[in-house]
This record gives sequence, C-alpha cells and structure tokens, in this order.
Amino acid sequence: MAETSEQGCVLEMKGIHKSFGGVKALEGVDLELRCGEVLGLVGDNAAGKSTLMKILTGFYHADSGRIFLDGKQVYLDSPKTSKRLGIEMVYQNLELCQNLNVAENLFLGRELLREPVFRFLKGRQMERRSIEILHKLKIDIQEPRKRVDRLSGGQQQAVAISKAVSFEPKMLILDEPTANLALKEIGKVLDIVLQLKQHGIPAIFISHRLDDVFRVCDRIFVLRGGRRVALKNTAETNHDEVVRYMFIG
Amino acid sequence: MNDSKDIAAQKQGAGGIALFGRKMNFSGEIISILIALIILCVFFSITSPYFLAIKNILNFTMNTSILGIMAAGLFVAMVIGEIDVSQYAVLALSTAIMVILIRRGMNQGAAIAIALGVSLVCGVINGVSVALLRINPIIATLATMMVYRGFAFKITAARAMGVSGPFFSAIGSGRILGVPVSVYIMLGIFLVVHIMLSYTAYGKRVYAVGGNPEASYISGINVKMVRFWGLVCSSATAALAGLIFVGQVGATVPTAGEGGLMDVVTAVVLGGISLSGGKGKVVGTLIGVLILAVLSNGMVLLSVQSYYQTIVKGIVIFLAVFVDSLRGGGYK
Repeated sequence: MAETSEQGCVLEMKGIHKSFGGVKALEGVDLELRCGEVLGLVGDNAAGKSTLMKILTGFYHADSGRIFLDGKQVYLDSPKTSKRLGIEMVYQNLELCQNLNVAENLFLGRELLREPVFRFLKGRQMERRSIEILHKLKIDIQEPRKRVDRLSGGQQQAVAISKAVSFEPKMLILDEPTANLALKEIGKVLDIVLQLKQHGIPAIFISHRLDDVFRVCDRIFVLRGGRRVALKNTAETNHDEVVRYMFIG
Repeated sequence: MNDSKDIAAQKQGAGGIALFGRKMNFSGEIISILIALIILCVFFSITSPYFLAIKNILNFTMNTSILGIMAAGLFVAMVIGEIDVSQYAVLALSTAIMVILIRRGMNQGAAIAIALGVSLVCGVINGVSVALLRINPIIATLATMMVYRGFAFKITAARAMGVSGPFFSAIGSGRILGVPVSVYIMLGIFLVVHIMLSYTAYGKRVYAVGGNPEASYISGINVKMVRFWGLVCSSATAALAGLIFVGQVGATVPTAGEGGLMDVVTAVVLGGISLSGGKGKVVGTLIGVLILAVLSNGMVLLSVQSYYQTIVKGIVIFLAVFVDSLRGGGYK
C-alpha cells in the first residue's frame, strides 16, 4: 500500500527541534520509518514521544527540522493536512463515539450518501463495507450494528485501528494500543498489528509495555530527554538494553 | 441489543408493552416512559370521568402541539449537548413582527416568510454565541431570550395584537378527520426530525458530536457547524410553533410562554434524552410532551390548585433530571 522513497523509507524526520518556552522538548531528532515495518517508539514519560507524534500529526509545528513522506518534503501545518497526506493516528483513549455503532464509527465524517442534497445515508452499504474492512484485518466482529460501548476494550481498539486503516494511509501511528486491556485482549490487538505488517502498512508503535514492543516491532527507537538515544533492530537487542537506554543512557 | 431489551422488558414486568417496544425497536428508556404515560392515563381516567372523552383528548393534544413542535427542535440541540431556553422568546418576537406586518397590509405569506426569517436570524445569533464563541448555552440563550423578549415588548408596546385569516383559522382550529390540523403539523415535524436524525449524515453527526466531540473532530467533522445548525433548528421550530400559537390565540402575545420557560426542556428530558448529549430518541420526546400534557390536563380536571400544579411540574423536572443523572448524564 505504501510507496517507498529511494531510501526505502516512507517517512523521514530530520533534525526536529521543538521547545515550549524555555523547555526543550525535542533536540535534533531524526526518525525514519521503513516501508512495511513496525517501528517501536519507547521512552520514559516526558521523553518527547507525544511531542514528536503531535508534530507528525500536525497538532504542533516543529521549531526547525524537515519531514519527508515518500522522499518528498512536506509541511504538516494542521491535523487535516497530515491526514490528507496519509498519516493516520489511533489514539490511546480510543477516539470512537461510544454511542454510535461499529459501521457508523468506521464511516464517521465520510459517510456513504445516496444523494448530495439531503445527504441520506447508504446504511446497508456502509454495514457491508464495515464487515469487509474488519475482515481485512481478521477482526471477528460480525454485527456492524452493534454499539461500540457494548464491545470489549480489545474489540474497540480493533475498530479504531480498522477505521484508521480504512483510510488507506501511507502510515499509521498507534499510541499505546494495548494500554488498559486484559491480557487476552492484548494478544488480539497485537495480532492485528502483525496483520498491518502483512498488508504492508508501516506503523509507529508507541508503548510502555516492552513485551508488546518486542513481539511486533522490527526496530526500536528510544527517546530520552527529547533526544534520540538508540535505534536498534529488535532481533539484535533485549529488554535490559532498551530499559538501560530509556532510563540511564 | 435485543438481549438488553428483553431484560428491560422483564424489569418493567409489562410484557405486552415491552413486546410492542421491541417490535418498534424502542430502548429500555422509551419503554419506561411509555409505561409512565400509560399509568398516568389510567390514573386520570379513573379519577376523572372526562379525561378519556374524545373532545378532551383532542383539546389537550391540540393545546400541546405548540410545546411539541418546539420540543422536536430543542431535541436536536440537546442531543448535540447544547440547550436553548430562548424558544418562547423567539416565538414571541417572530409572531409579533409577523402580526404587525400583516396589520400594516403586508401579504400574509410574505409576513409568515419574514417571521420564519426572523427566527432563523435568532437561531444564527444563538448558534454563533454557543458554537463559535463557546458561551455556556444556558447563559447565552438566557441572555438572547431577554433580548428577543425585550424587542417583542418594544414593538408591540407590550400589548396583545390580534390577527385573523383563513390560514390562521385552519392551523389554529381546523380539523381533518376530526383531528386538529396542529396535531398533524406537530406529528409531521417529529417525523421530519426522526428521519433527519436516523437516516442522514447530519443526523449521525449530531449524535457523534453529542457523544464525543473530540472523536468527531478527529474524524473530520466540523463540530462547530453541527452545533450551530442544531441551535438554528431549535429556533426555526419556535417560529413554526408561533404560527400555530397565533392561529389558536388569534393574536401575538409578547408574554407568550413566560411562565413556561422550562416546559420544553422538561418535555425533552422526560423523553429520555441525556443532558450531556449523544443519547435519546425523538419518539421519547413525543412521549415526554404527552406526559406533560396529560399531567397538566389531568390536574385541571381534578381541580388541583395552580400552585400545586407548579409544584408538581417542578418535582417532575427534578425527577427527570435526577433519573438522567443516575443514567450517567449528570452534571460533570
């Protein structure tokens, strides 16, 4: 799905600086996301993970630095621009409308319409498409009319990821997708992340749970105090080393 | 979903009504208030021999159509999580302008169109205040209510001004198959709101914004515009209700609805809406309107003193909000 630049990277962030008043949140951070990989982004609280991702999703503007998508420099001046360019984020606090059903959530903001004047919905078609979208990631939700607040936490996360994937993004950002989930549910969500990889959708996987990071990520990027302190192939590192980078250096 | 309805039905212990509710795809809340309405009707039919008289039923449904039409519009604003207490003032101002124009010789159709236009302007002011300037909706519409009411007093010199004509007679006291025209209009508006909220993109967005404005924004919805149009919708129904008011009373009255500031809100809340937004069905609001109408009519038939009627209405508002709070829609 994602196109590659000459270097094989979908995304490149170079020399990203961001300060809030006198506080330096990011200092010259370089990040590359390769085609089809899942990149783990780890770090202690206030390491700069959220700031870096908010720059990527257009909520914050970097003080300096450049961002390339498919090798072309882009200016992410708003969340809308970022979305338009194919950067989708699944937020930690499940940005779904609990009072709507699965199909309504999946198509929220881009409903399929019968006609443009009164904007009547193609309800059945949206439900059919919802099942297709869910099945693409092997998510076992058979009832697109089921209200989201009646799904388990893991199922809700699955719907949120499916929604992001259905926009056919260039890349995904998964912000703590396994936080607050039961063990069984965590496994299911991680399986979905692995499905992303099979579909060639590159993703940045943010998590405090190193077990999860090691299970699904190809490489691990460690931030500390707003600086990149390590970038390791998952196969060539271990928990202790990553923890050391996160907290000691 | 059906399981939860089964449980709700068992809890109600009213199999027939619950079964009807399931067939109609009603939620537990709707079934509950439907049962409440039936209990009230049974009570008043036992205590007053006149309650079930066809003439009485048609009269009180006709009288409640003004409240009902405004409740249908307010429902849209309240599902979004907003509120509008200026509707009666919009009714007073728009009808005052209309009647004055007619009395000065303007064509009735044109005057009615201008009245609707005035209500839209009021709605735009409310919408801008609440959706764009993000002023608390109660305070914003309380303030605009005073402004609209003040203008209504000013241009009518605080007097009722009569008007007549075949159109107003038809919508005020006309009947089709014995049922007042105003009741048909009220039901028609409820149907339009139901279709809009259930089958259009705007309707889904209304529920989405009421349920989770952040998620709606991230999904690319223009949250401000959804809120804005909700407030406009609320004002527009006030003008439609105003036409029926003029038809029934035969005049514009600048004090119209002054004593019933919270009646419309009460009807909507009784109908099972969540004050925090995102939940509720417009059919519930229709039942809420009927509960208020039955309650008022029943108390009049039983010659309950007006002071006590006010107390009962206050208790009903309290209970409705309390139940909403128990369901998780309370003040945060």
